[in-house]
Amino acid sequence: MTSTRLIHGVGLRALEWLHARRDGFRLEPDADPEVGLMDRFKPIGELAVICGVIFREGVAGSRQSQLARQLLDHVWRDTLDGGRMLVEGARTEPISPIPFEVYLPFRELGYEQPDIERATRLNHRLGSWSAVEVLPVRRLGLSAFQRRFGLRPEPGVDEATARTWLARTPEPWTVEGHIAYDITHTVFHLTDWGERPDRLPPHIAGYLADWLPVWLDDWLELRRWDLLGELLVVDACLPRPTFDEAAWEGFAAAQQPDGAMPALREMPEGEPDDLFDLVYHPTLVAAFASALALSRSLSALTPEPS
Amino acid sequence: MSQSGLPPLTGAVRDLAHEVVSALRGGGHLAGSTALADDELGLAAVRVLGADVLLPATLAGYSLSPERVAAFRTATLAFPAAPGAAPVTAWSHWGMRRALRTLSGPDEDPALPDTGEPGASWLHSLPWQRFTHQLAVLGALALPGLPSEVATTAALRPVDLARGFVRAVRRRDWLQAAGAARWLALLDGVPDTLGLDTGLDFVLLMSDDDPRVALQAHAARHIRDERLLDEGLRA
Amino acid sequence: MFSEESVVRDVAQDIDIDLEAALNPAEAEGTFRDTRECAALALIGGQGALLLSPPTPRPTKKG
Repeated sequence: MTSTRLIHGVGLRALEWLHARRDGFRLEPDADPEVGLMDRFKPIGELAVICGVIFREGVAGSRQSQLARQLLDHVWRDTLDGGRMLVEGARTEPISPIPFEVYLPFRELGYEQPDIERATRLNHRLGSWSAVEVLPVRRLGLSAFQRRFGLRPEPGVDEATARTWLARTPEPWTVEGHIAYDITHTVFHLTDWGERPDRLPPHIAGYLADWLPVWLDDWLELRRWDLLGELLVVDACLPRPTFDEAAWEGFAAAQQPDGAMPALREMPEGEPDDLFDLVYHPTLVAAFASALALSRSLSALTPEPS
Repeated sequence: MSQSGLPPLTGAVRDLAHEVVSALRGGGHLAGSTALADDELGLAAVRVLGADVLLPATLAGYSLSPERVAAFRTATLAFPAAPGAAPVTAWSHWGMRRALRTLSGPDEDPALPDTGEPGASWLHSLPWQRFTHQLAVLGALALPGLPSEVATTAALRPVDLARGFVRAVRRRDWLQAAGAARWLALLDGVPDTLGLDTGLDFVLLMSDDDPRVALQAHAARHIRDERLLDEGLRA
Repeated sequence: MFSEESVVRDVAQDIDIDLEAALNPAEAEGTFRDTRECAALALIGGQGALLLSPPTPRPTKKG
């Protein structure tokens, strides 16, 4: 059994690194139009999602909660200029769902930007939004986000789920890196980022219980920490998490003393901004996996209130 | 067929495996059966493939020449498992003695007394990865109607073996994958989502027709076909 | 014909063959897999960005 102290430590160190490097969550207003402003929204949206998980699970210490709140305030107020940069993104590319996707987790944490809400409601009425050709797992994500926003998803979540790789439970030995990321994201969307493990359909939960141990073993051996971290999140989303000891110990050992988590193998080198772009994601994943696994392992110790 | 660049024993084992696969697939004809194993390298190769050398008879019901059985007996006598040998070594030798008894009838061979099963307690505590590896090495014991403590232990852990198969495929360890698949073909309780049939074909395709892989994979397919036939007849 | 005893003796005397390693093999090293994934991850970045998908490799700064 993996110790809760180990799991907790990974998350705290990850958040400390993210807080210390918070200027890495930056926009590039002068970006080449081919790249665009929204290219840098993704890390900010991910940060908001993870901070939301940390608050929701309520297992972080007061230090972690304080770091998370400061991070959120910083990116909302300073980086996004109170959400106005999201509006600018939406003006530039009105049909893109990205401003909405980045906005939603902030909204759920009490931040507001009425213009994005107007744009979202309008986009939702467009045939184009439900017709746009995207990967099934991303379509599921859009439907899940619409549901969370309070809109009626089109297609519905069940229909979007059925189109994903995971819902079809194919041969587990065909899973390689891309498919593995499709699997983790399908689970994230189905469970609302781990909030509702009960929303995993039983045939998917059973499939994952059978095969997730193999994938953990595989990507631990390959030392692909970013993917391993996401798979540890999936474990924590299952009806009976395993808290795989070898995977958690390997994951924790890969983390740098300052809290950074390399994406694969060793820590890369580079200028601060480049380094941030290379490792912010696995480090956020580490904070995510830690918060969720800690919460699940603690609730496993506490009897359900009757 | 000779394999250049391989250690002599590896090449001899591959040649022998190739011959057994041909016999298993080709209606029991054993090319060069009289030449089997009367030199040292040949006998060692028989010892390495173990009871699988007799697979055309024990699995497919073809008859074997008395010379071939005699040579198999010689290899069994020549390479007993030393006291303190690794469990898989002791078990593969048990498998050879057992196969000989199956073929030669109820009378005890005074040179090969029945000393019972070597014991399988080492398997019980192994995590699924190592468990699958050991079972795959002992693929020759995965036969319908060959009860053993190893088979009993395997039957208790079909999901672990299925995981080991997936892991072996991912690691491109085709021999381990095929050996695990042979046990899976024999067992109940394997998750349907594994996709064993296509998995076997995938292993055969990817292993470039390595004869040792092909031997395990064809044995697995044979076992599986028989089971499906039995189930069809019962239904 | 050969005598059983002589064959057994000859074989037993020959230690040239690493039979024990063949009978009790260590597990093979895993072959490295997913080699191309890092480069290909760029495909899910950009406009198709998934939240919490792996980082998009960015152009390195020149000079």
